[in-house]
Amino acid sequence: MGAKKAAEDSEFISFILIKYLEMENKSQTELMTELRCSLEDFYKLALCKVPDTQAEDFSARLEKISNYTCIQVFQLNKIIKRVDSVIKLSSAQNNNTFLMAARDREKKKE
Amino acid sequence: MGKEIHKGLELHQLILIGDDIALSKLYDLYGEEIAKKLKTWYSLAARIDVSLIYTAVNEAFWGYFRNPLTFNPEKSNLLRFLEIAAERDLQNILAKEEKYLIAKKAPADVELEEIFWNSLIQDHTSADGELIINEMMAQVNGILGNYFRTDQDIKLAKLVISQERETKYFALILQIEDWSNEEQKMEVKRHKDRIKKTLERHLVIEQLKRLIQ
Repeated sequence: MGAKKAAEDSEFISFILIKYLEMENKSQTELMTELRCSLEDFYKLALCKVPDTQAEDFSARLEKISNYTCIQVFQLNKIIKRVDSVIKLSSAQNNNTFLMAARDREKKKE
Repeated sequence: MGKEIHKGLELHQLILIGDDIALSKLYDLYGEEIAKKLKTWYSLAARIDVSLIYTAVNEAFWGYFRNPLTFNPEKSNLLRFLEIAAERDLQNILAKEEKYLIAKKAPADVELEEIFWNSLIQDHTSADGELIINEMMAQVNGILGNYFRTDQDIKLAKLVISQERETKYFALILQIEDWSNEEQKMEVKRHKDRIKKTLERHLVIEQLKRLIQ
């Protein structure tokens, strides 16, 4: 309950989990096996907020989520950082494409 | 009760400070409990489409999560606040689902179950539909209140009138879900017989029919 709605919001781990499933082409059951968690813990995790990977307290926040959901810290760390880096990379690529297009337009004007 | 208030306040504080696991805890603590209550109070809607119940609970929880200051701890506890919000959201959802529900409406000569509940939902087409329904529910409660002294009995009577057959819904109202199945069945039967006798003795069903026709 609620996890589906959270999946639409990048503030929540539900969003990260969906992205991860898409990237890795995995099913929810496969991911649950990877995380060694129950369905209940999976949904509890989905409704947690994503800690900022750049923040100083990232490890502490991750550990808190890990204790609450009974999912190992290193697994959470791996998934969050993997999705975070892919999102940042694709966002940077988009920015570059925009910059290149803008430069091309400028050159044509000249 | 005190423990409940304390837990609710603690959660409210966590949500206010933007804690990472606060929303998850909120669902874990109250989600199923509130859904269970709505399923009992709106058993017909739950039987038609149980996802309506969960949508209402989600809307109430997210509404509160996005605007936590709408909850005033001095006025009520968090569980009750969310229950009221979820019930209000469910009523709104049911009003929007009117076409679907009207399509389900049975002909006039079927059992009272259909007549009773469908009559309560049939007048959503007018702008005053909700008001009319609230007014009708107040009248239904008024009639039942003449013969049943407690809220618990009124809720049981509504289940009997709507011809609910599942023991679990009665058990929930009677708060005997922890009892064994056999004990629950016996206790529910005892209460149903008592309620039916009162309904028959005072021709309550006939009064309700007159009210809704």
